[in-house]
Amino acid sequence: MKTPPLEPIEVFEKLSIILTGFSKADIIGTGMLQTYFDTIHTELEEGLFFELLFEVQKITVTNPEQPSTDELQNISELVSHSKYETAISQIIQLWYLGEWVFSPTSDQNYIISSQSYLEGLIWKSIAAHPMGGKQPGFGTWGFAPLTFSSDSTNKLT
Amino acid sequence: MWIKTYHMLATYKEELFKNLQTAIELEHSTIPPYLAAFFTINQDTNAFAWEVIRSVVMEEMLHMTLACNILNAVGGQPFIDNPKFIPEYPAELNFADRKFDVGIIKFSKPAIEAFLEIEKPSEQKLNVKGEDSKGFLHPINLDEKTIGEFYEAIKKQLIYLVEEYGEESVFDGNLTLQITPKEYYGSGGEIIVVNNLETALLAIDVIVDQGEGASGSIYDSDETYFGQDQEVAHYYRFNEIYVGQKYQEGDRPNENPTGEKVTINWKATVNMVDNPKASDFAIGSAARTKADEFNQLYSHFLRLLHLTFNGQSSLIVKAVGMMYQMKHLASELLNCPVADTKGSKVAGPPFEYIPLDQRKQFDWLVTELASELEPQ
Repeated sequence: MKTPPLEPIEVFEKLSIILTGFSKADIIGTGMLQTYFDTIHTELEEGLFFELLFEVQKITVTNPEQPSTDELQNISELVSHSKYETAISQIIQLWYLGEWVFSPTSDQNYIISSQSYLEGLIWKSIAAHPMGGKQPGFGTWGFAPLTFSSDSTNKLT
Repeated sequence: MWIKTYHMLATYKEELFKNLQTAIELEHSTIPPYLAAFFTINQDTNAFAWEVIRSVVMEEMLHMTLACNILNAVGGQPFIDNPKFIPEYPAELNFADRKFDVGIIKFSKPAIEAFLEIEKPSEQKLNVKGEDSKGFLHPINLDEKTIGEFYEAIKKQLIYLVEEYGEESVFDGNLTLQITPKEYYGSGGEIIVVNNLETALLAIDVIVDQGEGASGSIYDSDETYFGQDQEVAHYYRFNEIYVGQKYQEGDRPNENPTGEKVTINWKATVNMVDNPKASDFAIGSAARTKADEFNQLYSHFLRLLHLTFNGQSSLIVKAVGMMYQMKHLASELLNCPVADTKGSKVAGPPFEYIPLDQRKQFDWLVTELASELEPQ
């Protein structure tokens, strides 16, 4: 059975899951997918983003949340290609920081929106909350971070 | 003779415990619907409604806590982590003269109509009607016509028992079970430590007055009891949203407000599905994953609340932390499109109960509370 080709936004979702290591639910849950798609489309040089997505689409990844060794090898080759290297790094930083980074030292770098700041994946990665937002509750800083593993199969026994 | 009297008191108390447990469940049952309305509007586009619902929902949490304090004071035990504790939404509220559904639905006129039905004061004649109930699991049944009358019946019960058996026999609960102002903060009104008839009646007055107004008035009694600013009771605050106009000094309970007009943007809402259920969403979808996660978190949270109200009151700080987590998870759910609706609608917080043996690991809960989390 031939599966219908993915829409560009779906390919971007797949790429984002692979690049960030976060689940589909976490990526969708940020509410930033479309915004980031548009940002990247605007910021990258004409045509580059769609070329990248076209290449990503050609690589079979059965489950982007757990790519196999072979799948990962193919993805690695693509993202380390000199043509895409910078763009890939920018996309990863976009997801983690909510910021478009031209270069680490550029003063042109900008935070996409207040929401993108709050939804930066970096906060989840370090089990913290964005300063000034998503407050965790009075006094909770005294406790170990509240981490919930949605894919954990461990049950209370 | 003494044995007979004691036996009678025990029988009366069973009835009292049952009513107070219903009170706790009733107060809790309003929170998910209020939160759903709250989560689906934006503070920027609906500032007035946002603030009203936020303030009401915080007071419902106070009411639930006060009801637990009263039950503990008379020697009862609140049961929170229990499948019957949560109604299946849309929840059926059965009053003596009417029943209606209260759902987890987005901010809308029907949502506010249901809220008005919940908070309706005795003698209220403004004609707003919620949808008739279709009948679901775990309805909340009250023999009275309003929440105020329901609490009035509990007051009478308390007064009668104190007259018959003496205050010390009625209020024989363990004082260390009380939630005190030290543990509770950040809401309208204040927590009341209940240890005798006077404080029990005061706690009930706070609950009823915040909900439907001190008798014959649109205002609650926070000003009288706590020296706080004069505030319109829940029913009337919801009515301000409903008609888009504030009450002002001199307005009367059975008339609509005549004060400053307020802008209510009924269209600026997140298009959440009605009464979301995790099982409605396809396995593997973002909506399903986050809905399952939410239910897990909510059920763990109920366990923590149960422990909080059963002797480990300092755990309330952690419970509050979990409330914030639930809020952030709910906002993630509202970003997840629902496939059946072709992406036109999004998921929302389901507030469903997960039995203890199906709960997943939750890191600090497991490490710090492992023993308490064992089934009892």
